[in-house]
Amino acid sequence: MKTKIRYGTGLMLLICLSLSTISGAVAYEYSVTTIEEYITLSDLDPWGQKEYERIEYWLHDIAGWNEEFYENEYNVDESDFGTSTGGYEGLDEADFHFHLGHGVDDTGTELALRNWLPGPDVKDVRAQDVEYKWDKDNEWVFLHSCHILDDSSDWAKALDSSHGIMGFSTTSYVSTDLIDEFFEEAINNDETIADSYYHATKASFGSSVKAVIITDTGAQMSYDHLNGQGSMEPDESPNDSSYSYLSWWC
Amino acid sequence: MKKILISAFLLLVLGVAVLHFVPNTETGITGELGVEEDIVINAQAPNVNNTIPYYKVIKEERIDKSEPNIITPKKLIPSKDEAKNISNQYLQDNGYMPEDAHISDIQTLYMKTINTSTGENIIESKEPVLVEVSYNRRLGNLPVVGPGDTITVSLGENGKVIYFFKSWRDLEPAGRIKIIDANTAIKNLQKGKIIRKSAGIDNPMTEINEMKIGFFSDNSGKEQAFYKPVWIFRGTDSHGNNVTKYVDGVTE
Repeated sequence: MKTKIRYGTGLMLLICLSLSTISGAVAYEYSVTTIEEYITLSDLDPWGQKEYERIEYWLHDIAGWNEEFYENEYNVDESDFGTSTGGYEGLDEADFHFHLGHGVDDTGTELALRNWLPGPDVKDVRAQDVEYKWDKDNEWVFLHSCHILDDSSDWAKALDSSHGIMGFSTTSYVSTDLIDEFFEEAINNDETIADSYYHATKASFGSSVKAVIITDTGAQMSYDHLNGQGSMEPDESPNDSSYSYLSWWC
Repeated sequence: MKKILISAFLLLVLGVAVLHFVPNTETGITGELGVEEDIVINAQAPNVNNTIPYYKVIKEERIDKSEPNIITPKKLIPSKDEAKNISNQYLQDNGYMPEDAHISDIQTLYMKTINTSTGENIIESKEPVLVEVSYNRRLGNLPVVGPGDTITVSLGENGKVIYFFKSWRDLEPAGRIKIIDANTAIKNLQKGKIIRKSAGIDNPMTEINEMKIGFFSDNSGKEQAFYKPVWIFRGTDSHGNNVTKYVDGVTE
């Protein structure tokens, strides 16, 4: 059993990070969307920028990935979430996508865009917008938003060739620790994506947060690693109407 | 139909009014809570003194251990009762059990395969993954909330420990500190002066079902010099969601 014992605070974490292995330059891509200032909802600033910087640090600086795009605030729109299967396909242009922003349960869960208003299809991204759409390059999506995976069966329909979504079915909280804990396991320790997410959520939140992972197949849930950090299961073929689900209270 | 609607509305107004003026005879603190505007209070404030002990952080301990492939289906995992005993024994044997820890939750995780082809969510299979025993902390009789003082022991095949996480701070008494009263805390709650921002709508809390004094422990690795009191509110927000919110217990 691998053991890591850490005493102290941020300094120790920085030392650990500086000793991280810099992997070879492999052309995997990531994309990021963040919204931290809302018109009608409470602001999340400065966490959009802070969380983006941690993603950039881990995937670009440490793992050597290429940034496909980073959109924030008003520049984030529906198309960035892969609502199209032709032309610009948003998150489906990259292997891994991370999003920070409000999630809302508004007669079905939806990602709130900056000028979100109540009611379906008013400046939001709903599961129906991405149904059967993620069929190009994306493997994993990390939605750091409240409530979205409370409708896991709807969002699972987005997983055409894409493998999985990490998120929450309850309230969640802004946190760079969540990102650091996740990539510490996924990149530095080469753990599977699901194991890394389990650990990251346990280490970052109290018991009132429910974390959820959904994948297209059970094998992807159990054995998928971040690209370049270990094995990755094949895309589901042919695509069926089943998906795998796991949740836990943090 | 119109009369029925009017009657229902009047009953609703009456119900809310009654809840606002539920008398509380246990403490002086709660006597005025019922007159707060825009919030229904179905809870009694704890009977506490104006000052309570607080604590200085001496050292932070963090341990995490894991086997590969935690999140895989298993053939046989322990029952919750068995898990409790195995977990307690594991902590005792390894010197990981703090004196002020208590079991806060035991949950079994299942990997489900769900079929949606008919429009219904049909569970095709449900395989056990692990059973997890969680520990939290109490200081005196007061709960510690937040992620900084937690222990998780996760058990896989035949009760083997496949994941262990401990984040705990060594504390020493730092004296006593004055806490704000419940009414001030509720006002701060209504103003949105809460600890931690959520990544969802922070709807205003409209009903409080439980209110406690406790301590907040921040994430492992975060600089935290003292454990000072917080007010812990549990209830529902304006959308009917169950919510827990923390308000600084010291700052007016």
